[in-house]
Amino acid sequence: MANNVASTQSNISFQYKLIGYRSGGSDASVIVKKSNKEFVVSIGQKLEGVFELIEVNQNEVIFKDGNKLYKIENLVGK
Amino acid sequence: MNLNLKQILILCIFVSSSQLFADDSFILNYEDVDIKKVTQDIAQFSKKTIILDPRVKGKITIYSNAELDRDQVWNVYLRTLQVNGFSIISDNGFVRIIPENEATRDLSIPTKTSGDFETFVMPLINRSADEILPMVKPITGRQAHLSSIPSINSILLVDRGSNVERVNRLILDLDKNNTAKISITKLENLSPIEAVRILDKLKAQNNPTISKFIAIPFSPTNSVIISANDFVTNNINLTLQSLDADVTSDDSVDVIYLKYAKAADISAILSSISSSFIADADGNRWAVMNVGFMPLAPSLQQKEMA
Repeated sequence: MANNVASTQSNISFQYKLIGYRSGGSDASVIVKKSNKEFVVSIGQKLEGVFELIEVNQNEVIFKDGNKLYKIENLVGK
Repeated sequence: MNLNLKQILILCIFVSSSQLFADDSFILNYEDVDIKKVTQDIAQFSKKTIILDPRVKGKITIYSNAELDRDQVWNVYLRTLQVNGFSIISDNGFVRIIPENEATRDLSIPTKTSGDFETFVMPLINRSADEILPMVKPITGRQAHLSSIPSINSILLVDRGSNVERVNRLILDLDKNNTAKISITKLENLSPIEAVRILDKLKAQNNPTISKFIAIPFSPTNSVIISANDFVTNNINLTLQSLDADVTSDDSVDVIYLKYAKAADISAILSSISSSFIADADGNRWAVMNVGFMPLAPSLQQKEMA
């Protein structure tokens, strides 16, 4: 599960673990966890008001903060 | 040129419609996620208002690689809640999630889907509620409520819709009129005394298909009086019909049942006088001597009288 933590664009503040997702075009969403707190984020919404969810698929989940991309490898259910 | 524009237009429509179609399939995977967060996600997705009971707690795990449409996503969510011991109650456009054991006590439960709890009163006609109750109890749901209402001889069941239907069908079967009825079966060839003797032997074997009956021979009309339920009466009649037909299956052989004399003795007497038999016009053989001291089968009596 260590691979579920954001890896691209090293940013120490982005330490979220992917624990659930619903992939499906513009109606996708994810549930991520940081410490003991869980967050539900849909496509286009911002995680903690900062990281915008822009892509959800069976391989990875991508957040964006300005020009920076944060990818989480999707290992849920695998 | 016009043709090219049309082709492009058709292609655009096709691509956009296939894109729309693609958007309508989803893949769900949740691993040990708080039930509240999953509910939040599904409520947002399904545009439904979901009210969680404060006692609804725990983690949910859903693994799926299948592409689901919107309805299937909703159904997967509902089934997952059920598996985790919660009930879903549709209530004036809202959806309430409550612990399953509370659902059986909720008076505002609608009866729309097979997964919802239903309250059902089943009146009984032929059996008592207390007799039926222990038979039905094992197939009711884990959180079902089952009790009898002796004053109206009915059973009260609160269970999931699908199970209520199942239990209702079973109760209808169990409540069928199974009381003993009197019927008279007339025999053509078989002696009623012999018929009852055979039936009593079958009954002694405790065969459930022929048991719990009373059979009485009635010689004046060569009939058997039967007291049994419909099922057993039908089986007895089939058996008697078969035996009755067997007696005359071959015209050259007849079975004569003896009431008092021993068959071995009679056989010896008949053998000794067989030389005095004479054939009738049809080729049948008849004894000349009078054997009227022993009872004959009705068919033979009739033949002899003729």
